[in-house]
Amino acid sequence: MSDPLSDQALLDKALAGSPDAFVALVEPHKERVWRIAASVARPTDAEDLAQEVIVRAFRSLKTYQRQAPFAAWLCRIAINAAHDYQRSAWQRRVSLMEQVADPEAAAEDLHGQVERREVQRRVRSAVATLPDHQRIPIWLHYFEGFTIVEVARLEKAPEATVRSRMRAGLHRLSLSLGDLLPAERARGFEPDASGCGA
Amino acid sequence: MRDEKLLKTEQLLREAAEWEPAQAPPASLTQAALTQALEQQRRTGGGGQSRAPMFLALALGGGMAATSLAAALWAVALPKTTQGRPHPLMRAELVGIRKDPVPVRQVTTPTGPEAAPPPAPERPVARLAAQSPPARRRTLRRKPGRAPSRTARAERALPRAVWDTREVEKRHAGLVGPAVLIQPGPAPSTVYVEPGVVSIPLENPNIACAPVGPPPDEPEAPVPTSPGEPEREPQGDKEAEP
Repeated sequence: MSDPLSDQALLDKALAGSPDAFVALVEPHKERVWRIAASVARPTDAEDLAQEVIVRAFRSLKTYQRQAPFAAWLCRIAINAAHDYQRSAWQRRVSLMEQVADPEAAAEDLHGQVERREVQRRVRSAVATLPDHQRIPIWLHYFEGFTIVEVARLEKAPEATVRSRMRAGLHRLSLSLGDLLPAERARGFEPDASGCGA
Repeated sequence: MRDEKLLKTEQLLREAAEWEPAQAPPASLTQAALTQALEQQRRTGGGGQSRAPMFLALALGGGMAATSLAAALWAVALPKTTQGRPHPLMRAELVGIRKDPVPVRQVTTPTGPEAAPPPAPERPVARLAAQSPPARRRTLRRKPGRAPSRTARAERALPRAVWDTREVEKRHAGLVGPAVLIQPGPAPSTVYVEPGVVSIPLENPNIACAPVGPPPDEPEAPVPTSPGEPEREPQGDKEAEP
């Protein structure tokens, strides 16, 4: 985690028009941006997506209000970019083709690592498709480790509202990821198992 | 049960948080992105945003403002310039009714025993006779199920007869050439009847008959044709048209 004080100083310089200050400001958070981009994008697209995130941050640096951490603000840009990437027609088409090829990759895996990573990736992708007000709190809290207070500051919303949105997002995820839930997997996708949760 | 499901979903999220990408980010990621951003900024002329939306907004806003201003000025200026009277342009559009009567062509009446001036025409019939054939067809044509117009009823009430122009020639014994029906009124007053069988409302008192061309005995017979109307060549059976 970068020093907030140095972040503020770098931010002032970056706002004054110093490219070096901007690079120094973003460089510590590069890993976060990369992780978000790589979790939704294919390896060939991840770099482009990560670059797009940094370009967006550079453009909208003036809109950053210093109430929330800079990392959270940057992550929100990355999450939104990931969401846009998933919504693009090209990505939808490629995802469909990849889903057809997935069972073969899983069959080659002996230790279940590929399957586990694929589940994790699928969960992250599902979060990236949530509505804006649910996606950002869930991602920042669960995947990036920000507290509810920090998320609420970034969203400029009360903590209770953030919690409520997260709960609604979890409910939506439980519907879309129903087949990945441990109990569902253990039961082997029994037909009556899906309806008992409500 | 629902809470349990949410807890399981939460557990999935925590597991997914451990996910790490297979590849590390490129070392030059930030620098490359910054170069790209600066290049975009240079292309768009600063500010990092495209100028097109700004120009579009300015053009739209300016156009709307100009339209509103013009409308307001017009609303204020119109009553003052016309002093309460309708604007000349508006009056020209609104009146649309000619007060001066339409000039009526002089009726050419034949001389002789049938030269008595016919009585005043019945109005619908006169109007119908004054119309051109397409206009007359439009007048007579009504939507199905709708009562026929007054003009159409008047026209139907006229006794119709099929006349052989040879009969006309017989009536005007000694005349050679097609007969001519004289129809008084504002419309073309001369109706040519080609040789052959024609169907016209002959009982109409407004229509009189007169021969065309001088009879062979009389060198100077009155030819009641209107000036400027060309003579037609006989073409066989044909409906009389004004």
